[in-house]
Amino acid sequence: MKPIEPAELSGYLDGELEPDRIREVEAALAIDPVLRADYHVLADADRTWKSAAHIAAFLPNTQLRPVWSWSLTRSPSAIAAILVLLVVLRITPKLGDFVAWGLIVHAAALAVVLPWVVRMVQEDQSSL
Amino acid sequence: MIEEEQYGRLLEPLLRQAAGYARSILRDRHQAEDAVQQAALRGLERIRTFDETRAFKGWWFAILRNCCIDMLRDPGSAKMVSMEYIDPPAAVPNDTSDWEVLSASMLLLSVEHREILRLRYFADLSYRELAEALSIPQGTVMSRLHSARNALALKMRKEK
Repeated sequence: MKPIEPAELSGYLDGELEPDRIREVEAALAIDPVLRADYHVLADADRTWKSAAHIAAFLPNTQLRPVWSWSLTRSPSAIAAILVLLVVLRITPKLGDFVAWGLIVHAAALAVVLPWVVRMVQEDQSSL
Repeated sequence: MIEEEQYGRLLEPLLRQAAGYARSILRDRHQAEDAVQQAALRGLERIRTFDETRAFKGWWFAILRNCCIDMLRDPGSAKMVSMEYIDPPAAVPNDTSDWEVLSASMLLLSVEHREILRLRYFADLSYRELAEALSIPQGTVMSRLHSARNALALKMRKEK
């Protein structure tokens, strides 16, 4: 029988070993008091963690709303872009028609595109 | 390819553990709920690129982990509240002392050890799912988890 590696005690505790290896670990635990003591230390910590996980868990209120609504309502950049649009609309009466419409179109495009650009940059930074 | 409806079905059984996992990182119930919501939507955005040969649970918890990290980085949303202030449910009063010892011991662990222990216990990930969530080989999972457990047991003995 191959000697039991210390890390295999964790694999045994988690039920992640192959059936043959489980039998070998159990046989070793039955005859080796040091290995058994090590296993009990792991098992005690395991119980504590499971208890903590049980305490912490709760059912959250989660909804799969459309993605765009989250971006537009929660993104500060969307609010900033809309403000830019409002400012442009306010100053355009003082400008010529061509310049005014050019500014409005650009500001509208900015209001639509900016939130998505910012969102993409944020996702890149925290990508998987 | 997984569609939106199927994504919802896959996600639903994970939500309770997801909230507990996020709560263990953010230490705040409301922030944990926000993180789960964000991760649910971020996962939905990416579901069409999900490779079905990968472990869905591990893949999604990696997204949740990133959402929690983003929230911790945002000084406006992060709250430095100790785990002791999360009231344990009245139904499990005997677990309170364990909770406090664990909380104190966890702070002394390395980030790597904390991360794998949280994913193993709060998220209940298997070794395959842990490998997926942490982007490490499956063979590394067992040894890292074992060393994290030993480190935790040592710290807990000192705390007690």
